[in-house]
Amino acid sequence: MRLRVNPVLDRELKERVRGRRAVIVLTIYLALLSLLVYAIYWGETRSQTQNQPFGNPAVLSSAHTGRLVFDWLVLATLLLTCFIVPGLTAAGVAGERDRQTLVPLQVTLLRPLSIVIGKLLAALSYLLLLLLATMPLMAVALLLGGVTIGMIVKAVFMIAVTGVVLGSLSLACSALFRRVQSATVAAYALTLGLLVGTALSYGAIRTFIQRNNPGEEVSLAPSRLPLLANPVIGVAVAVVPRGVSVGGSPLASLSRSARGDGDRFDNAGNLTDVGNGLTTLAKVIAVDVAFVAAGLLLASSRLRTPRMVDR
Amino acid sequence: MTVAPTVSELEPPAPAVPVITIEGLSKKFGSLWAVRDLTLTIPNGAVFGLIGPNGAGKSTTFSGLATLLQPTGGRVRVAGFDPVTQPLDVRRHLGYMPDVMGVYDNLAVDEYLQFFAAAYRVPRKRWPPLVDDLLELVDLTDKKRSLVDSLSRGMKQRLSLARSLVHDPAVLVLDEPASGLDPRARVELRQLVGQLSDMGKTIVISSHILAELEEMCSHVAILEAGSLLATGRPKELFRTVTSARQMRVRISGQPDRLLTVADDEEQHAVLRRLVVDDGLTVLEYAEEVGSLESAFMEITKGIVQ
Repeated sequence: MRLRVNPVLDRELKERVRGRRAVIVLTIYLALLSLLVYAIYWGETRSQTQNQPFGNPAVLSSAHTGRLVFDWLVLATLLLTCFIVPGLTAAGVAGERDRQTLVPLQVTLLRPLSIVIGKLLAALSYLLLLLLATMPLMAVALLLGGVTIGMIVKAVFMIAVTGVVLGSLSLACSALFRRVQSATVAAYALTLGLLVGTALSYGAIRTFIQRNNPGEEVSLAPSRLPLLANPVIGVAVAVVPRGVSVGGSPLASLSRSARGDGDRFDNAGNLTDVGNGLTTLAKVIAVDVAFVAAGLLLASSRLRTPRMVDR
Repeated sequence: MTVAPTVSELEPPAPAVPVITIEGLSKKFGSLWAVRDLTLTIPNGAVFGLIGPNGAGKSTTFSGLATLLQPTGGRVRVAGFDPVTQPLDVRRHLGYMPDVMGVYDNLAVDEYLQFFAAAYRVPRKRWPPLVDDLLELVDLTDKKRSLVDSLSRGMKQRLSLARSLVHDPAVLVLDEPASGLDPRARVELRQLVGQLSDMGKTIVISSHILAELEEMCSHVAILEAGSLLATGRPKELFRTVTSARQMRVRISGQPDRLLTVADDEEQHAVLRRLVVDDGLTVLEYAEEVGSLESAFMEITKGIVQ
């Protein structure tokens, strides 16, 4: 039996590989990440050497360097994903509208959801290409130590999940807004909201709870709710297990915040959030699935014809 | 409702099974009626021309047929199916060419057609012969591997027509296919429509230029401000509307007069009155404008200013 390829995916891929942009983006992406890996490695070995009275490289903590390289690499890959994916998908529907190719597509037998999924998969395949190209850099971290293959797999998985989430939400923007520019602005605003807005509301809710209950024993768990939607937190939670802390690692501290490891013994040494059965990672993934479903349904409902309003 | 002149019974209505019936179709955008109470029957095998100025409601009507727009009121059937409740069934039987043709960058002509073949669920093994046949039909065989973007406007229009044919629909809806084409491309398009009609397809075609359609259409309907003004075979329509002609009379020593005459009898009476009763010297007596174009102007006069 022959697998039926989504026609939209097929066409988008053909267009993508022929365009110059795919190559340029890949090149810039890899150049930035390589530079970052080199900078972390250089900085860390240098500081370790300076802290050794005899400057003996043998006593350098290679595993710590590896772990730092990995953490920063994952973080940078994620942020670049957040930057690239809305750009790939925000023009999805609005671009077809702009180029006047949407109507011929809507009168075919393709279902609106297949059109949207085709576009999402096309963006995701390009993202997977970028992630595959990151593997040699990940290998550097693996070589230095402090990192397992399992961690790399989890990190890449969560970055791909982030790509799917942002892609779906951007496609929804693309279907909601008539023009490519507005759709792109909305998609990046939404991405920024997930990255920064969630972190700000985390802080705001904490302050609010603490201020309203001075000296009391209260759960700070509600403050961690918005963090579940944060892409960086998602990756951090997946990569850094509960209760682990790594000096200088950005992901480890984020993971602890999201899980509330620090809150646990905040007041009177009592555990504040145990026993709801779900691990933080499961919650993160549940939120992601909800975002993807909402984004895709919203986008496809806007493409459904016949409509009451013109096009 | 507008009472429209009907098609005469001179010719036996051969296979006059209606492929498209439009009953009381209305579409309102905000407070504006784009189409108002339009009733049309399009028989099987017809080349049906819909004529009207911009904003007459042609594209809106077509969007209703092509399952894109939900009408405010009325009933439409395409090949027996309702575009609102059975859009997929309608799409299987209808090829639609919108008034604007967008193209994808970086896609070759054959890939463009393959994409739409896939979108219409044509089995993959039928793509190569299908693409070749369609390209031959629209005379683009030597452009098979060219990028769609590089084609001329006329070629794009023909490719767009080929696209609307990938699923071999019985009905073709072409929205202003000739707009923006040079005269040569127009002739080619007309020949192509004739060819498709010979293949047994029912074709609905719109234009704001009557002359574009009068030669290729078996039926014509004139639309203005969302309402049907007249419908019939082109020749009869011409006769109907030209029965009320505008005559320019130049009279010695007086300014020109414009007279409206309904038929030959009235014409003679008018002339007799001028020359015999009033004793005027008629220098010139001629039809103000004599083409079908003017008939169209006559019909649509005064509705949109």
